[in-house]
Amino acid sequence: MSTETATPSGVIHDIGYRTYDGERVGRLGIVRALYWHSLRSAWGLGRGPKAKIVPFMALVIMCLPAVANAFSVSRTGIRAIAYDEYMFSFQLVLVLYLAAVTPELISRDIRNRTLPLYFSRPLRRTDYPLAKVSALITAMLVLTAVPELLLYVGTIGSLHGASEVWHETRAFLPGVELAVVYSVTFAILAALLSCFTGRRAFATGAVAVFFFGTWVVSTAMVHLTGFRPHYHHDPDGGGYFVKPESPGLGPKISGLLNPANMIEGMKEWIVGRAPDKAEIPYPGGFGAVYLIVLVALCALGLFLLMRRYQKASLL
Amino acid sequence: MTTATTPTAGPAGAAVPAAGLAAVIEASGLTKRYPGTSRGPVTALDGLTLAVPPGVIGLVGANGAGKSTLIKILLGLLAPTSGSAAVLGYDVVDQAERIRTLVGYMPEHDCLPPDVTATEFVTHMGRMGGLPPTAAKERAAEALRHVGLHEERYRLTGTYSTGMKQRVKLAQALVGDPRLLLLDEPTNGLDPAGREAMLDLIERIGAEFGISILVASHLLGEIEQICDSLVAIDSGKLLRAASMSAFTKASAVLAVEVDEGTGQLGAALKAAGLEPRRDGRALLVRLGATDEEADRVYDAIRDAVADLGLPLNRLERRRHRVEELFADERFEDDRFDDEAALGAPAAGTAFAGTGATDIGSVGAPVAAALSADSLADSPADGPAAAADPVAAAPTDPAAAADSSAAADPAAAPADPPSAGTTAGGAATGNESADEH
Repeated sequence: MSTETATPSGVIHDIGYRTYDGERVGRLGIVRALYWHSLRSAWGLGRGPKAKIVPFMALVIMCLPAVANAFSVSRTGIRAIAYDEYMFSFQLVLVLYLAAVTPELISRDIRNRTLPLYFSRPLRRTDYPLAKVSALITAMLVLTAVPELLLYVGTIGSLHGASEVWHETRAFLPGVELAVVYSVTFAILAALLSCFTGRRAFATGAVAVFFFGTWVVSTAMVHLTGFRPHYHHDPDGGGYFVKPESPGLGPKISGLLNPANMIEGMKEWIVGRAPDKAEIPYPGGFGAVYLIVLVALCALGLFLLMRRYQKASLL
Repeated sequence: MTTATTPTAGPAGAAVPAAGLAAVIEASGLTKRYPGTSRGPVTALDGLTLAVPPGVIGLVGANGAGKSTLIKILLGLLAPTSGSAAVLGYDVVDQAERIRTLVGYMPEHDCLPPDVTATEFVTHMGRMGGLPPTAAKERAAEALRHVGLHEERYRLTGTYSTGMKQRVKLAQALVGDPRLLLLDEPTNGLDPAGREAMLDLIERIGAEFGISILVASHLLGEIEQICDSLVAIDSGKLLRAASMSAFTKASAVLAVEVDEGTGQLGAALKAAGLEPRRDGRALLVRLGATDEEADRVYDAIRDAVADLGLPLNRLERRRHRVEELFADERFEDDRFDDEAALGAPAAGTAFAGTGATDIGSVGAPVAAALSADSLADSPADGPAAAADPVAAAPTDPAAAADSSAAADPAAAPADPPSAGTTAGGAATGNESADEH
């Protein structure tokens, strides 16, 4: 290290220091630049080839059912998956994507202690987490909305007549809305979980354990508190499993323990019914609680995230 | 998009050191207290009032003196508890964003992500400073070239040496064409050659680029070479803010090292009217405030070495540590006497610990004088302080045996205050030497 000196060895002409008096973008321009930089990072762009593996694998897996659906619909007319069950069925992929990408976006700058460099520039303390969360939400939207769109395009390709297409579009739009809700909720919570540690492994673990752990607990509690199928005996000797129509408050509250279950409960309340395979009982009037808790959770997550970046210990 | 143009000095004026400008950094009654949950409130800055002209500004203070806190307040990253400060004429509380567009900051700690190239990183930091994409790329390349990184800049920073990392950190501070650079311990972790290179670079940026620079360091000797003015703080209080020349005159010390006969030389120098004191294997001699006095000191040393026929090993202007500066009698600081007393136990142990034959010649009388001094000034600290030097002298049998030591105690009562202060300086000097 002692070999390097300030004097260049060769023929490069030292043109001296030049001042910069060109355009400077303001604070908003910087936030936008940080947003784009983070969004690209979330998809491994501008990083090494290894960084692209997980995001694009996740996208491919998410799109597989939509592609399969396109074949299935064109050959047999049978839908492979419903728009509004897509995200819930594939939340595993969403969580894996977040567990891989959030530490890169959030924990990395804490780990490398790069944050003081950001905060010694015109950015405000809240600008940084806002840009990061926005980028994460957008990255998640790509992962959630693209499969829904593929599903839609693959299906209407095999439809005949404007009324069928209109019907399909009516079913598609809630799917997109759900994709947005999942993206926003999951991104905020994952960002919050990652911002407390600089250790990438810890952040990955925290995100994975939170989403999977609460899902296991929530679903188990829903069952334990009464929302489980009973065997219904037919008079002719046969029978089938049914879930209770009104399982009481226990399962409904248990559904609040996990973000995905919470979103499903809210969806059922808004739609006005629960699908047959539902993990969460139809909440009825209790659905408003789902909505309120969900909104409050996101707001609290954002607030805690902003507050975290006010801490002097990050400098 | 909103555009922010630099309000001070136009592009042409930047090449000329802006000597006529008002203070780049001003503070008045600046105080910062941390609440401190377990150990009570901590006062990091205590009523700091200063105004520093443009140029290369040294900010010296021991570790924990409040240097980094001051820099963070100047950047608007921390809010002062009371008082006010202004950077380039902008208030640090109300106009922090404005300041941050005009200031480049290089933190003390490592801050580089290891998995990007220097070019990518500095470009990104340029964009975060408000440069459009193309300008950020161009200026990143220029900044890296200015700090002396050429082909290496396409390598991942994780593969860099400490010296190269420090250069990248400097480049990211430089990329946005700041009017003022705040560098927190830029030579941290560098080897001597790396330190020299970094200091040359800083000096060049200050002189040729026309950028004012605040360099924080705990090594006065290091930054005194490159500074136009100096701010010394201790425990959050301003010790002194002045131009560099005023500081060096007050604290210039010459280190003389001979292979053998250090004791003889010490005695000879004392006879020549100087006040040598022992520091490890070298003797330290104060140079005096004027050039004539310094010349006389040089002559006296040359004559003494020649007369005694000693093998002269080293003769250099010593790199003082800030602690010595603080212990200098020329600083009329009312806490000074306390510090000398506090330094006394350390003085005793330091001299006893290094108890080679000729140490007694300087150490014993000084320690004796010191104990008298501390007793007189601060009775509370006195007994404890006095106990050590007294105990230290007999443990060194050579001190009594050495002929020069026997001759010297008479000199001790002659000038107790100055001998005491010298010992205080030596003690703190030794303490700080242990840190490195």
